[in-house]
Amino acid sequence: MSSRVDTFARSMPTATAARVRRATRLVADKRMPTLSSVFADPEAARTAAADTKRYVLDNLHRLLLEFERNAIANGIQVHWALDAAEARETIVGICERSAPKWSIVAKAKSMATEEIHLNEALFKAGYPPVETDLGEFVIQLDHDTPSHIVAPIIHKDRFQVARSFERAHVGPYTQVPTELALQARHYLRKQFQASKIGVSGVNFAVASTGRIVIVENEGNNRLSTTAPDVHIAVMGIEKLLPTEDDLALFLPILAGSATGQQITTYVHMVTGPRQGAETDGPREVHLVLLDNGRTDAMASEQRDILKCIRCGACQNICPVYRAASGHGYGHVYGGPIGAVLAPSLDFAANRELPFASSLCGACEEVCPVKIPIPDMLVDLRTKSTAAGSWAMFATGATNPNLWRAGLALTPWLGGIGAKASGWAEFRDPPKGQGDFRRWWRERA
Amino acid sequence: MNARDAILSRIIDAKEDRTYQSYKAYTSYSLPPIERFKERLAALGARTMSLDEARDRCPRPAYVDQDIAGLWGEPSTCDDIWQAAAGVTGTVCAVAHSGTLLVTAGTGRKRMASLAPPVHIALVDKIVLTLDQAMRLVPQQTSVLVTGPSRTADIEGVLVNGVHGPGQLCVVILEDCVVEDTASGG
Ligand code: SF4
Repeated sequence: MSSRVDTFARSMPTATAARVRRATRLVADKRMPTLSSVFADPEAARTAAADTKRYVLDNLHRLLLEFERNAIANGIQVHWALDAAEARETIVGICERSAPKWSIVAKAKSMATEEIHLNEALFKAGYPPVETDLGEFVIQLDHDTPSHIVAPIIHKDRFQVARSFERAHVGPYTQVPTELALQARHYLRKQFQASKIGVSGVNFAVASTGRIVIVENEGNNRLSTTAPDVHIAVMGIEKLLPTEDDLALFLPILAGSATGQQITTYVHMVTGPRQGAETDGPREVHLVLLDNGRTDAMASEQRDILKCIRCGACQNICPVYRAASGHGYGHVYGGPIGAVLAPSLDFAANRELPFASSLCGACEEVCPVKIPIPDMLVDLRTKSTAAGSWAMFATGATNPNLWRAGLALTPWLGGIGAKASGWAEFRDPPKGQGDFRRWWRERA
Repeated sequence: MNARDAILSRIIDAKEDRTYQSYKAYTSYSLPPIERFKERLAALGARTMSLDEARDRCPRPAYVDQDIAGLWGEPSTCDDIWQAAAGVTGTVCAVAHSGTLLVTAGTGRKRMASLAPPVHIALVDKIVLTLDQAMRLVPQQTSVLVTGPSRTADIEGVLVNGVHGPGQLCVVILEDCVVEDTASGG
């Protein structure tokens, strides 16, 4: 068993564990009924989605060039970044060229920006990011980290949110989720109006049209990418789809797998900056294409993990995730997807994560692009074991009973992985302009 | 070598020339398309009403996109989109199967009209059957698919409307609205 994950699971309060279990089950139960209400044959839809993504990986070089050509023709400024540091540098550079120091950056939820730990870099550079997704906003106020790739505050309840809002002067204490959401709306409106720069992720990039596609339910992503003068989008190089026609499959299969919706409330198809006599929309759109270990993963046995569309279905169904939450994995990508992706992007820091699984196979069954996660975990375990003495974990993790027993054992190594993967750094308060919370209070 | 060339040099495409399998067979429904569209909107918490009713009940001041001001019957009374109580826009088309609206940017329209005000009123004059049919109609400009009011379930999975975008979505199916089935490539 992975010590990082089981140590965490053991230390998690019972109430938090119960919340994570309940919330994940709720969404997991809606997945199949929703997909069946959209597709005549959901299984055929998964097969086709997997095949499309395989095609994308097989033709990625050509598709990237096609996408780049079309995106540039649309007026999008395309940047490439080999690793997290280069991506952060590029983004900070764009900020410095487009807005005075201490301009607010409206930040939409994005796993790619979490992966490169962008917020801290922006803050240090004097461009304070404000997370605008409700869940991410709470995470930022609390100095916490997201515990789920789709539902970042799955580990929190309304009372915790209410206390955070009260403390940060977002609004008076209330236990009504509707009121809390509207407090956030009111508060963040001012940030949107003041922000000069918006940063977002990307769900799909369409090669044939050069458009980037972003899905969401709240509207904060559209606001972040429409209201400010400059929009900076960050995406992993694997996010391509060949044509817009493919969205007709991928939009419903992503929404159904992620939240049990037939399609998300908003699907923003960004062609580029404002055109001609348009009176709103960004004047500049930048796109950062991120490698950060992906080309290594492409050349490895774990190549197929790059098919992932970040739906979180594997997290919702996984017994280990349900017991430990995303925080247990000590990496921005937790759960089955993280147990493969984290070591594929950075093996040394995350080589124990493949042991955080009972190999029950549920993740592969729900994955909309049919990634054989259990097989990959076994491969990675072999690699891990060869690289060190990890055999004892392997025994524990392949047997659910032993795994459970393992939860009570082996606390050694607890924080090492977390430090190496950059989370220890991320959890520290931002430096430079003092504590984030203080900064927040002063400007509020 | 710059990052672009370094990344591209590390990606070697497969030699075999194959295409891929797609899938767009959606569930069928027995209702006429307009009724299906209305049913989906109701399920999503959006409202449908006639043009007259929408005009009567529209909160003021309203921002109205120029290209539909004639149809709507009155010009915009509020050009500061942050101050508008409602945003009135046209649509490229709507999708019966999913209850989706396709809204697009361009001269005479604001990208924020369907986003910043608390109420979005959308005029529909064309309905297609399924999402794949709508995807073929997406214009070259930045566009958005809107399916229901803004929502979040971030706090304990409780559904809340209107967290950042419009909490109320009001759809007017115009009298001369056409239903198009482009399934056979028509
Ligand atoms: S691995 Fe599959 S199930 Fe998990 S997040 Fe990625 S696409 Fe979804």
